[in-house]
Amino acid sequence: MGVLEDEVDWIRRSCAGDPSAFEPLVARYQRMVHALTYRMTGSTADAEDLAQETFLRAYRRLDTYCGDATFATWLGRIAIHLCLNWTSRAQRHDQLHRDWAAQLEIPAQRAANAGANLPGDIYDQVQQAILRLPAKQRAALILTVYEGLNHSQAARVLGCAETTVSWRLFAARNKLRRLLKQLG
Amino acid sequence: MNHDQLERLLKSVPVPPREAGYWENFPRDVVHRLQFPTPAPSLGPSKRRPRMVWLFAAATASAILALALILKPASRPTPQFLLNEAAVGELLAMFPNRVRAILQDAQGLRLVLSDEPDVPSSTPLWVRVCRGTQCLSAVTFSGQEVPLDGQSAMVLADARGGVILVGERFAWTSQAPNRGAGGLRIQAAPLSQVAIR
Repeated sequence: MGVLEDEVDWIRRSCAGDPSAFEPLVARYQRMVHALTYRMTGSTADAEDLAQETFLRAYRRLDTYCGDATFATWLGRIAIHLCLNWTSRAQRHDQLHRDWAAQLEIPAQRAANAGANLPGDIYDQVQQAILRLPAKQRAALILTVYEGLNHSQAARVLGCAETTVSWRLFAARNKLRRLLKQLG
Repeated sequence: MNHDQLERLLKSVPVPPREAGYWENFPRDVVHRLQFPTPAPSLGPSKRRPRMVWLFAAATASAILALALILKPASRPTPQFLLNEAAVGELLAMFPNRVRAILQDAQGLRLVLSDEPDVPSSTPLWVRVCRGTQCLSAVTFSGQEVPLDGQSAMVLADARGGVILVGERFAWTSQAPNRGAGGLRIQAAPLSQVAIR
């Protein structure tokens, strides 16, 4: 279980130092990874950078893939953790910008969580609501709703207990219901 | 909104489409980066990697040509090269809207280029960062990131003609230049204010 028959040969050749053998693996999973990184970041440009970084990191760590999970799950784990690091970095930048704006008396940008109605069409509103979730809740939601993982599989990707995933999903859905109630 | 309604709503949101050819090119781009990895900059690695060009190594022909046209033959850029507004202007003109930064340190001069001509035109900003005796100078633009001291720092022009640097572990402004930035000595200003005449 875990890896498809044709992927075995691609992975073996990639591990042997043939980067061109990695190309069909990228082609097979690129849309899945892009969708995941986009939903985590809400930015097409950042999603593309993170998707590329996911595959680069996966190639460098191919020798650690032992087939205990599907290749898609293994890739998803790499992508999610890159996105969580990205989110942490982006939040620190945002906080620094707000701090400096306050100190320099430069009008600060309107805070993302000011409680105002979400702008844009329905798709924008849903994506913006997802982005307002804490990063780990967002990751749990994306893995289960969009990637179709069960709680146990999502827990393996996130490196936490299954009950933690369940709790994060419960909290995420409650928050989304509040944010999206006008769409209900 | 019950559980099923929320699930349906969430699943109804599509991912933005990509332009034609993107999915064909992406795997090739990944393999290309694996086959031709970009070199790490000095003063620590950068987390985000725009394309780096080493001007005194086997760099792109156009970057070498750019330097050849600007510099006298067989000469290396002086430490004040980045303060020569005319020379910097010529280099920027060779790569319109593609130069994210020009970096100079003890190893030499490097261009950080965007793959596409998508760098907005704006006032060039000069930055110099030192830790101990190790210094990096840069000419860049507001909103661009430069590798500094093992982290990626964003350079911003503020509303009063000053410069702000925001790193992962520090923040600095030219409005308060003596405020510590994690042991770094920083100078920054619009290039026109510091250029050698």
